[in-house]
Amino acid sequence: MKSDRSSSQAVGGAAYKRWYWLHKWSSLACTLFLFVLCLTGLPLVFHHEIDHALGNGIEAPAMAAGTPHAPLDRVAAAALAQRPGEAIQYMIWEADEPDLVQVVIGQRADTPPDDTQTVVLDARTAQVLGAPNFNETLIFFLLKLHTDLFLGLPGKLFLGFMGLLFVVAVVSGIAVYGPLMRKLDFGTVRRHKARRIKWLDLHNLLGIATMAWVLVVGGTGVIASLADLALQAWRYDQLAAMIAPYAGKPLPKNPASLDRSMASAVAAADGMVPSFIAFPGTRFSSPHHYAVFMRGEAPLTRHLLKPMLVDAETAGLTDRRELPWYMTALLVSKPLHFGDYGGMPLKIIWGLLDLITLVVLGSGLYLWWVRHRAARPATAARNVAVEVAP
Amino acid sequence: MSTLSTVRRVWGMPLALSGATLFGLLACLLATGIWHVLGWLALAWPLWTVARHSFRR
Repeated sequence: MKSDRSSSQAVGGAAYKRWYWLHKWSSLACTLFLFVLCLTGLPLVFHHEIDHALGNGIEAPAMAAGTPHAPLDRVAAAALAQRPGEAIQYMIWEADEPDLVQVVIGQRADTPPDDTQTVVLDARTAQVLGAPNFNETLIFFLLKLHTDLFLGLPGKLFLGFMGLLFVVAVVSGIAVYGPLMRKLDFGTVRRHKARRIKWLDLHNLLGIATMAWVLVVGGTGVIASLADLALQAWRYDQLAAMIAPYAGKPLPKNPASLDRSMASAVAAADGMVPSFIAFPGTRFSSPHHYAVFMRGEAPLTRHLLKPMLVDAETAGLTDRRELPWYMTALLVSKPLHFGDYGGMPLKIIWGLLDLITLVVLGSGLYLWWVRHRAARPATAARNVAVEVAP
Repeated sequence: MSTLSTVRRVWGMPLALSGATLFGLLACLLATGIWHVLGWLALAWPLWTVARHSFRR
């Protein structure tokens, strides 16, 4: 207790104490979950490599560059042949896998995502390359732990709140860093003093050197936790306005050609390329439309989407809009959270910063425990000797 | 010691490292080619700083 008092009196007054109190309690409240997030996030940074190493990855066979793509109607038919009588929900092209197309199939158009099956096809030959049971992979398990603790929307919002507490912990940590370091040079590690002092210095050094990255990844993680709410807002806001003229119309009996529908969207998309098609009746479309989401090809715009609504009976374009700001914020925050946008070196940097964050969390917990124990009368006497003098 | 020099001594490195971090994050997000390399180097600086001070004997 004495060392606590003397250190806080030495470094500052009431403002410092308030920040210190905030740092301690916001950290303690979120540390356990931040451990889970950092430990699951580390392998998730390398999910592509891990999936391939475990044999869950699917690659397009080598062919001459520029081999033309098969008609989408053929791709759809080949995918549906795997699950006769079911419904295609989405057709997806990943930016870094241009020759693969993923087709998501469910019993109905509105079957929840966890109960759907993805079929991966060669975009050039419409040949089925595999139907990975993504829901049974290690990466899926880690991803569920990382995003919602297997609890769905409440889990997401809870982790988002933990992320918010973490941001508060970082900001209050920055606020107490200044007073603590007034008499010390940057990076000082008093390794010859008591173990607690050494770890306090390491906690301060590692925390302050990584604060910008931690705030970006923490902040974008909080934004990502609101993805479901943002999507819901978009559906009731922009999507509802776009499909209002079609209210009450049933699912089309004879859907128009996918290729003609895509041609209508591409013709109006100012050089953008398709990211995915949401089929009629899914969460991203109306019962009467193909919603073709186009993306750009520049470094930033490849992450941004623009929905084009195509009448699923006539294949004619009915509406196109820029996504609202909250959806754009969500899309931009995703790469900044995942660190998957700058090649392998960036992923390695992400992994190392994640490890440093784990050390900051662990040392913070240790420092709290030592002080907490010292604050108890029985051990206080023994700790009187431990002073925080530089 | 004046207040200004204390502020500079305490906050100089943290702000420089944060600036490098934000530059690196944005360089990798907004551009390609040489900017990616510059982004990696900028992001490696805080890592190097942490390693240098942590493992110094």
